Amino acid sequence: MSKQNPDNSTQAKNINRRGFIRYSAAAGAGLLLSPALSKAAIQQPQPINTAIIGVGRQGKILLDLLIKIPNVKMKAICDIWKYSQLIGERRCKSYNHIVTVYEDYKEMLAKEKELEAVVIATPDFVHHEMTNACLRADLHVYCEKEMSNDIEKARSMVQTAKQTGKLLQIGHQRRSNPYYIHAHRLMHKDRVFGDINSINGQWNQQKQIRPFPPRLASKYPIAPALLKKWGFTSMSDFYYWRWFNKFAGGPMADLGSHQVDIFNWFLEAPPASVYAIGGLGYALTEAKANNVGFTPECLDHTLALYEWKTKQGTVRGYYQVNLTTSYNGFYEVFMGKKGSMVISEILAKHAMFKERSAATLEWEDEAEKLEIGGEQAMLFDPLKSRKAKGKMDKEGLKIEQDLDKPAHQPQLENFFAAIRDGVPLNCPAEVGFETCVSVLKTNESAVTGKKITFNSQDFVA
Amino acid sequence: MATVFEVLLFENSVDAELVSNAIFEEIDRIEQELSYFIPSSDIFRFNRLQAGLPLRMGVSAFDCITLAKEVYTQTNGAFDPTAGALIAGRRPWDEQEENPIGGIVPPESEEMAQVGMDAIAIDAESHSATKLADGVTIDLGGIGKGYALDQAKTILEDWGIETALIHAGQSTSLPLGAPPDQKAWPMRILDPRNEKDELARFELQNMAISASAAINDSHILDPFTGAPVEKRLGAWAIAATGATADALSTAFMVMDSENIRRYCEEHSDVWAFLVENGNDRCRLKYFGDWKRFSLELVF
Repeated sequence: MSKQNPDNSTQAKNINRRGFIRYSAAAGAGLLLSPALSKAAIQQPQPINTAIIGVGRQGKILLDLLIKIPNVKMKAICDIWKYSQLIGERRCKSYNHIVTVYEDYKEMLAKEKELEAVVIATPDFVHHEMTNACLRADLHVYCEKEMSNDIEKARSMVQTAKQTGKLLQIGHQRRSNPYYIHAHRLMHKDRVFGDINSINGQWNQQKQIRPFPPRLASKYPIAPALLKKWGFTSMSDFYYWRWFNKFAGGPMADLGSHQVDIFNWFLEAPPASVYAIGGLGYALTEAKANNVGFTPECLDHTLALYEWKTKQGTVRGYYQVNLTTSYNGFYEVFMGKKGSMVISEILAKHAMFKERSAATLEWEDEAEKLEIGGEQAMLFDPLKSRKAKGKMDKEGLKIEQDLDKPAHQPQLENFFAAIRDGVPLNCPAEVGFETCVSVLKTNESAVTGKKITFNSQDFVA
Repeated sequence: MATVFEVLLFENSVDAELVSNAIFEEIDRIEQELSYFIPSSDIFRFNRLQAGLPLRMGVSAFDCITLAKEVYTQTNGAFDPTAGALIAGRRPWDEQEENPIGGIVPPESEEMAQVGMDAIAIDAESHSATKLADGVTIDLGGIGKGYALDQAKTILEDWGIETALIHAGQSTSLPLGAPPDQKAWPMRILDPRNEKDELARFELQNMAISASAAINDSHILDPFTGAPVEKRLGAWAIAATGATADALSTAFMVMDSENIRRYCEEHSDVWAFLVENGNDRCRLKYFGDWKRFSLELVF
């Protein structure tokens, strides 16, 4: 293997084009990190004793971040599957976190008396039960989205958080994403796009459906009684819970929820109405062809039309989520009187388009120019375009510190900062509830074929 | 890691597909920590930090840096993942697109001052690494492929799969168990100048082998001079883990034969195979007891 890899140099050149913004941002960020890190190193606050319930695919992503967040001490992990327990415990041990492993979260709550916080990454249908129990056990909770596959159960989570006074953060991680925070500032504080009049977005990600791995099934079986205790009828139920209405909210909840949350956040209002269509076909064919041993129930694609009543007027938009195709991935588009913006967790999709009638922006000369589909566009650089309103403020500094962190890390850090320092949660339960209602009602519209008009009480827990 | 990983299994199709998917997901995860180019990776973030500021790293990045320091020390700096600073333009945030292979770098130059794993301090308690001089950068490409194979091996063990061959671009391989009706996995060493020519055959199981060679337009830099290595056409290292084999094969391209021989004597779980330029044909050297691998020279 050579040290000078030709592929790498090609990659560097490719990065240099659209990635320039990233590296110019990076060069400054090191300097700005200095005071914060030094301060943190000196103060060394007490670690926050934390547990995680659910160490499946999403739980492992969160656990990998949890174990390296300063002053978070993992004390316990909980999962009903031995294989997930094994991996979770191994990850913790490799980072010097010695954890106790539980199969039942109730036993964990009974025995772990030093916990302060719990991260929940289990299937949607048990979020409410676990969240409410943890809150009542005097613990702060970070719960993955979707809050629930049932609006009333989600409502109970908000109410329990209020009653107990404990923190409940919902895992809509884009709320802490520095690029989204910056874009929100451009839209609302700097009014770069003018009044927003329409939006659209999509998450297309083709899903392959394969049988439960026979080797894992035989090496790490879950006893039928244990499956039944948690509401599952088989290992397939358990492993593929996202395909069942009794456990999950389908792709609108798994994927679309992130983007509906962005629409609501950026438009500063929940939707006024939704009309959706959807279907289930591709997944049934896949499941049958691959002899997976279960029949998918959730819609495999949904297309929705929304209206929002904002301070500036009515905004209309459409959204699609497809597990049947991966075409063009995922992104959100906001279109306004002065310009439009494409934003995504995929950085390479970011672009801003200005209307000819719009005035020149203060940072426009410095922005990298692009041509997308024959249209002139530019990047909105969190460092350069922040200058639109002059000096760096506290929020600007935070944006810079978070620029290069993995997607879920800032949201988790916000949760722990809220516990330790009292900073506001970026996605408290009330906000997560608005999104949950928006999403589950979209599913309802797609299934019934009826347009749903919301009233403000729908979003009140 | 800019290479192709492959998993060879004797399994039913469902398990083979699903365990391979699990392995590739794990490799992707590791890449997110180790990549020199992905802005959210620990290594990217470390490379742009000021000297003196510790960075907490993920398990993979920290394990690789820890092992890299160990091999750096054992090989007296012949394996040095900080040597990338010797190549102008490697740092992508410098906006330099050209990437020339340098000649000899003056010993007193700024670039040479930024080279050496001694310039990186690690703290096992906090899993953090700190650069001790500004400008020090690290590229774990010379150890990451092998490390990824080691993690793949763990997944196979978790699944109860004992027979497999996993490799990264055929330059680092981890053969597990043995194919049906064989004692171990048959391996070949090919001539770096002409990969159609076979130089040696041997058998391997449950150990890793890695190769380094200056083939096509690629180069291996001598961290002591900054110049491309010319004394050797290729070097192979066998070790207990992929990460160690990966790092050592690079070191063995740079080290003198005598030092490699001594290293293998001092490390009974390491074997070396070298291919060097001869007068009219290449010269082969090997250190450690290769009989246990049934080495057969076909040169």
